[in-house]
Amino acid sequence: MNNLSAAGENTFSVDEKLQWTQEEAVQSYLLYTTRGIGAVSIRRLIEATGSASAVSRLSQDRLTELIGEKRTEALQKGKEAKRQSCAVKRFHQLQEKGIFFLPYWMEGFPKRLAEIPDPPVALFGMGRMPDFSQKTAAVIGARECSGYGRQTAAIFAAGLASAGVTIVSGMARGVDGIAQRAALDAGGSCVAVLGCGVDICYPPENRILYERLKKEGCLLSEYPPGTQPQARFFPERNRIISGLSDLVLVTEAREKSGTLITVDMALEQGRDVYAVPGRITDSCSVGCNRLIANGAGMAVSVSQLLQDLNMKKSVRMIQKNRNFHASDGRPLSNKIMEVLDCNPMSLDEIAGLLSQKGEQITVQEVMEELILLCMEEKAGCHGGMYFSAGSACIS
Amino acid sequence: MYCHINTGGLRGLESYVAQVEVDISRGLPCFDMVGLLASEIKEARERIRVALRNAQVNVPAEKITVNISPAGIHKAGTAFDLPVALGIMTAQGMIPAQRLENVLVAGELGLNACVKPIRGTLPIVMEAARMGMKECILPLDNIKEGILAGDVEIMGVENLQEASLYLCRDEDGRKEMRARAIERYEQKSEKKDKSVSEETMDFSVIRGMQEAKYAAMTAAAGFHNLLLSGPPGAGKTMLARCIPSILPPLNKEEQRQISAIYSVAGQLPSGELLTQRPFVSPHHTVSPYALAGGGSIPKPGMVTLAHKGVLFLDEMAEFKRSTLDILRQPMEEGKIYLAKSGGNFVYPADFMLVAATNPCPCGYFPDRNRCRCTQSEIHRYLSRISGPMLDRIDLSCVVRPVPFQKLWEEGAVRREYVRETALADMEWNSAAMLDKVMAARERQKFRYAGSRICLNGRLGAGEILRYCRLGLAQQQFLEKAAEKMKCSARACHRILRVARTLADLEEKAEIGCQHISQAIYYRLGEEAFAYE
Repeated sequence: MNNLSAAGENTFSVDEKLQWTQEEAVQSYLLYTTRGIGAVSIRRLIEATGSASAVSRLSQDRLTELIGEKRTEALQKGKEAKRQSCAVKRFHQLQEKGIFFLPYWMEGFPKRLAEIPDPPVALFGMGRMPDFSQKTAAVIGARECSGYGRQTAAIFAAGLASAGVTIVSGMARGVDGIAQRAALDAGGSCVAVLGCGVDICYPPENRILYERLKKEGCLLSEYPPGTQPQARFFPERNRIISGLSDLVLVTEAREKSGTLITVDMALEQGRDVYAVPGRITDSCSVGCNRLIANGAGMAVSVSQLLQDLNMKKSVRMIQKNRNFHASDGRPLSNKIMEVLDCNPMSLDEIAGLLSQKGEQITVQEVMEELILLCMEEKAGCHGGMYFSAGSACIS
Repeated sequence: MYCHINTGGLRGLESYVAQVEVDISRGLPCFDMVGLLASEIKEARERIRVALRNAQVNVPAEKITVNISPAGIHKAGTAFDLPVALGIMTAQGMIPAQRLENVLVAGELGLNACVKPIRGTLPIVMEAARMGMKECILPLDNIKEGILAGDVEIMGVENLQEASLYLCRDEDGRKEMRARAIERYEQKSEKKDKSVSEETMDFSVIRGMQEAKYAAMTAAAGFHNLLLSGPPGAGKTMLARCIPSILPPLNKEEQRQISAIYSVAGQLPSGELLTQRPFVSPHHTVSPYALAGGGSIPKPGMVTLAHKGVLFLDEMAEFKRSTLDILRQPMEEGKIYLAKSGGNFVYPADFMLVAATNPCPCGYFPDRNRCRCTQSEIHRYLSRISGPMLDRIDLSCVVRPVPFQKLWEEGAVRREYVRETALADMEWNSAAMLDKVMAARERQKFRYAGSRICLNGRLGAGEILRYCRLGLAQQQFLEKAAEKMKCSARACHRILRVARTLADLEEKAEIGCQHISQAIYYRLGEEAFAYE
């Protein structure tokens, strides 16, 4: 670790390459964190030289030529021994915390992201970087989502993840967090792009999800660790979410939703945008429906999305569906399942619908049966309202 | 000359028999009162002096010393006016001193020598009876309260002269005066227009909402605490106001206990025993002292006034958290321990808590078409109701608004679901529900005969194991459910308590799986209170 002596440039053995990588990472980190040197300057320097190590060896004249006098001065200042050793120490502290640093010119940086207009210069990350050559989908939506939004987010995320699609989202409240939780539960790979340093959990109520992502998924951010979340970071963060994905799926968005910023960026980047249709009277779905009206893809089922991604439907999904259809001999539960739909209903409404159908059932019996259905995860409960948790209709 | 006369004082909810000692001796003319007295008693000197003069009684120009013993207890209230005045008359020989043995006197005097009503008559007379007093002289307005207390002859007087006259009479004369006093009281109370007592509402006026009605009935049957949550206008308050109508009537002992509390609080206006269960509904700005009981000798607070009845907290999430947490001890132990500068007091506070709250600041969650509260706003709103508080609420029920058409349907109570189970064909009005509650209470009484507790809602952890036995199938079911629904051990206890009551309501000896799942159902509304 401490051996930071300069390595030759024409090295080919694996060990030496690894060392070179390490050296390059440190140099990149120094360059990235030098005060007064912005994304444009870094890009110009790297384009001219190819690596941060090479930049560190450039002559002053050449630097002035490339980035001007003022920034050269800043760069020289950053190279002072004291500052440099301090930065190296910080870099090692990050490594000890399990945070990796990945500038765009190093191997492993997602190609798709590098191609977008205004790509991030570097990413900080925690966890295991997924294979971005595989299909990737962003599942995004409103923070204050309805039961329908939660449900569709979970169904699409779980379905896509179990078919091998990497799910990208922003770990926000509402749809983002729900989708990522579902993806992890389905055993899929999952990436969260944060609007703060990767060592900070924002929003704090997603702590459990954050810890899980650290172990089972991946956390990414272009902001150095320790950066507190700021409102202006989030739109910037959104371009990374869409930039990482082949497809952007909006499950629920109001007419004026922050999610639509991501959609604009996705369109700018040439990504496919899909939206989950909702009832036209639901204010939570107005944004989605408008997207569809304006030409976005309509996400009607997981299998359709997989088809559009040129992927096969996973075996696990099909099995799950079959389980769902299997009846277990409780006549009442089937009757209730017939009445329940995705739109949450209160107990009285359910009982009312059953009695309209001519069933003679007491409220107490409906209560018991609903609890059993919730335990079997066929139905779900949210704020005292019940809905069908079946993915039968859309997968 | 010296004489003494019995009277009664209040200390918190308890009362004691005190002696007013009067001595008139030669010396510089003055009128002193001693015995750790509050200022309203010290002021009584002027009242008594003027009242005596207006009653044509000579106040001797001698040294008058009055001591109220036991001198160690701090005394407050106005009940000592009449005994002091009578004491001065006795000391002058206007009333035979031997007549004052085993007689208790209490009352406030006006300047024209009239006798005015006092607070806490009921406990004072009860204590007098216990101490072996034979007769009590009370203000006429308090006569009914005195009679309720027990085995003591009660005389109600309207003025000082009447009191002295009574004491001078022989046995027969006194008897006649007592009878006349009661007559006079009745005439007087007839003249007063009777204030229309607040009528309790009947469950039949509430359409639909069977789930909530069933929750209310269960809560009443087992004396469980109940939390109602739902959007504004859904009928939470209406439901809560109906609950007293399905609580079993009070027995004599309870009536006397509650009436004594209200008498001390000065809230027994009619002078009759309370037969209705109390329904106390403090506003959400209530101060901690008003709720728990305040003052150096604390007056009974809202929790004590709700003893054996319903304490209804409307808009529970609007209460201050510190105020709400006061309820934790009474909810656990059924009494409240108050440590004040005047001493330590234990007041009864065994109430049934009914709380109503909106699910979020705007009130419409989870209807996202109307509610735009953020998750953290909702959390902040509901977090005023602390976890330990929720732990003590066995039943929580979500109240959904009734559809408009249902409100205007013909017929007040339409039978909607017909099936042959114990509860299927009952009508959801208060009378029918009360019958069910009474039957369930009867079963509980039988089961808990000879033990400390008498209601399911008051079962402790050890007693749950003893009384809520489960069969193998039920046990497995509960285990499975607890795992699925992530119930803590304490949550399981609450489920069992409620399941016990549900089984009692259905007149079943054993708790079945259906009761457990229903009990779980009434826990789910609470899920909103957990952080996502």
